[in-house]
Amino acid sequence: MIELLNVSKSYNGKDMAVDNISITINDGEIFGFLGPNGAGKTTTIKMITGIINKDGGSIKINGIDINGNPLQAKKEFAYVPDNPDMFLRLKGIEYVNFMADIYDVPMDIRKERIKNLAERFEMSNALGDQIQSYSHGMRQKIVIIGALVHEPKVWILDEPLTGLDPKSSYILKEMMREQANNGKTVFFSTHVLDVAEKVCDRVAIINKGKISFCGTIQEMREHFKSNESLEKMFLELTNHE
Amino acid sequence: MSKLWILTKVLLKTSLSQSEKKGKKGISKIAMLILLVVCFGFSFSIPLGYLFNKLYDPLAALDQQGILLTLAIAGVSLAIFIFGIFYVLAVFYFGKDVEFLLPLPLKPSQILGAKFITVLIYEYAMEFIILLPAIGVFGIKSGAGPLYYVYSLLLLLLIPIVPLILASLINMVIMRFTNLGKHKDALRVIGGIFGLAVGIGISMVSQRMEKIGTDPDAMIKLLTEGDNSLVSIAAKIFPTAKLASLSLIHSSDLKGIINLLLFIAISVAAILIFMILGELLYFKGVLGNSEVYSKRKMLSKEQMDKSLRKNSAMKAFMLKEFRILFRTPAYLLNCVIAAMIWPAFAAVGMLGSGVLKSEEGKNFLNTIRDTRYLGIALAVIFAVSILFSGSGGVTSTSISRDGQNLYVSKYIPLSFKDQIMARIIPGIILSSISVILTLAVAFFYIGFIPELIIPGLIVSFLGILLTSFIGILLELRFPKLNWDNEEKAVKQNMNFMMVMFGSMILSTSAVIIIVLLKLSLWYAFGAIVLIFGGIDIALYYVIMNQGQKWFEAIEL
Repeated sequence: MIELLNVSKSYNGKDMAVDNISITINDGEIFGFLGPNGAGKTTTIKMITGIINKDGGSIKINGIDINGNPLQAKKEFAYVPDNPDMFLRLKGIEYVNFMADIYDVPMDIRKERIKNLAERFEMSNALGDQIQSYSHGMRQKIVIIGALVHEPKVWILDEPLTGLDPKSSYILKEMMREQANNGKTVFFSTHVLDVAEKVCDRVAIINKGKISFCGTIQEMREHFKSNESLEKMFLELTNHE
Repeated sequence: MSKLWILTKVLLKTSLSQSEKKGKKGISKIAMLILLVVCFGFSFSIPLGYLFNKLYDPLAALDQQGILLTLAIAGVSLAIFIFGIFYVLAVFYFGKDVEFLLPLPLKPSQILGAKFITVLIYEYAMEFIILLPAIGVFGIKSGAGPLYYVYSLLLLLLIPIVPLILASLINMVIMRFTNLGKHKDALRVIGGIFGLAVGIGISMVSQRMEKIGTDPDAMIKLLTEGDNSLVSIAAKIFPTAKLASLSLIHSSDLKGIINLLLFIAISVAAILIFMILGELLYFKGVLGNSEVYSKRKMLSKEQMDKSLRKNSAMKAFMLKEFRILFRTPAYLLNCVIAAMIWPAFAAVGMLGSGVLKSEEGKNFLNTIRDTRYLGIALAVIFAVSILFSGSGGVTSTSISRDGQNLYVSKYIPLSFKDQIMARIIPGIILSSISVILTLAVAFFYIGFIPELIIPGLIVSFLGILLTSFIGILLELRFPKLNWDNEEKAVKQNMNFMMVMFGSMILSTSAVIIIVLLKLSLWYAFGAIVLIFGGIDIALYYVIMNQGQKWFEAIEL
């Protein structure tokens, strides 16, 4: 479960990147965070994960405050950033093992999980190569494998499907569903409405730092019909990509 | 043609302005440039001018003074050629801009031409440092007319072209017909080590030269006699050097202009050949160059078991630091090898100079062994540890090296305290190896002094802690995270510079103070441990409190 209460963030003290938002993402649901480019999606995710400090409000992950007890809170979630270009000079296997060490994954479980994840994402024969030799999609996949190696209770994914081939994208969506069905939480951002419609239980739409809608997909569709400005954004979201 | 200029301008701008923010930084950059020129001027041009000046008269007596110019021009050509090989490789083939330039509707010769000019402009700096003193001394001593200086100016602009084209052609052929390009990191490291080796070589040769320099006759013999003399070898590799020097020597008559025209003709021909071969070879060599070598082979069970090991989170973080340090050429060369080069320099320096075998050397050794001076010896060990660890830069670039990826540190569940320690310790380990090796080399030459061992190791450790702590504090407060290639994270890192210069000042003053106070071994030991041990503890306290807050406050 992720709880955001009155969370705000401004840059240079003026521009409100995120303006007093409150959302609750429940256990057992896939929650889509929708919005056009520059709406405040990544900023929100960075505050949830502790990468940047918020100006005000509170953020709790499974009841643990990210600023009050950061280490404990960070152990609860896995984070997949929007840009997978990291640790380029580590081999895939070294990176995954690094993440497993950081999250203290026992040896026997670690082996099994890495093997399974690598097979599912068809990365088994790339694990021995440096990440810099990977394509964008492969980098994305290795980052996902590294994030999931500790079987987190909460998944936080920033634009996880961009750059993935249809098959990997399908597998990831499938895994998100499994995760939610097991009573865990999946929170992911996207600027593609289509993706949200297909996988999410609930969505929130953020625009210019404010939440303009939060509810189920069905509610969203009805809401669009009755709200003209939202419909315009709906078109924007569907037209992109 | 106009496209060539547009591209050249863009390439020059991007390589000079380095995407830093406007304002104050621009001034400091110019100041740095001036400082650099002055430094090189003092350390190379002035001694060279002095040497040429000394050699001129004896050579003139033999009517051989022209050799000075041939030597300087041939030497410069050789240097430009050697450095050019790796420089061209980096700019023509490994530059990140290549991928953006390839899809543009440009001819290979236009891209090549623009890149060639940018490299050429950098080579001019090196050329001027060596050639200006030679031209100046010759011009003044021979009372040359204005035409000599006009020719000189023209030649200064033309001389680097032929050697640089040779270096480019070698690269173009290698990159076209081999797949070495996929082993970029390895090539970069080889290039860097080669550069360092040339550096050490030059310092050794110049040590020899200094000795011979006191005896001009021996120098002249070395320069002129036999087919294997320096001049004839260099002139054989670059026949153009002979033309250039002849045109200068005979600047006042017809022979001068003929040689100059010949030189210009050869340069123009070289450019044409370069352009034609470039059209044929460049694109085929550079295409697919962004690929990186990979096996794409399933790991065997044993390999898998070997790769998958359980470590504590902190050890895993340190391991990651070490791997990235050793596998990133810019970090390996500027941080690791730069720290390790000192023991090598010390060994070569003592061996090469033969100082220790001379009478003064023996006296010096006896003095060191005199117990009254052991305090000074300890101060020197302390100074050495500060100097070496300060110039290594493993800790003083440890946060900047992460660049924009520093955000990873923020979301992983490893406390900032542990992360900061995991960034300090690799630097301490590498500096310790360097200092211990140097001490071993020193003891090997000077003889073992048992009383120094324990206090020596303790003060070295305090010295290494000092530079590491200062380095990490600067990094925590002023990390340089906005860079587009790894070189900039270390080479243009002010924290690294400050620690390096600071360690120079600190180490010198530590020695001076102990010499002035004439402290004996144990008094010196006590003073260093009390003062610097105290400072280290205080710094550690600051890092673990304020430093941690700074780390937390870094916004990405």
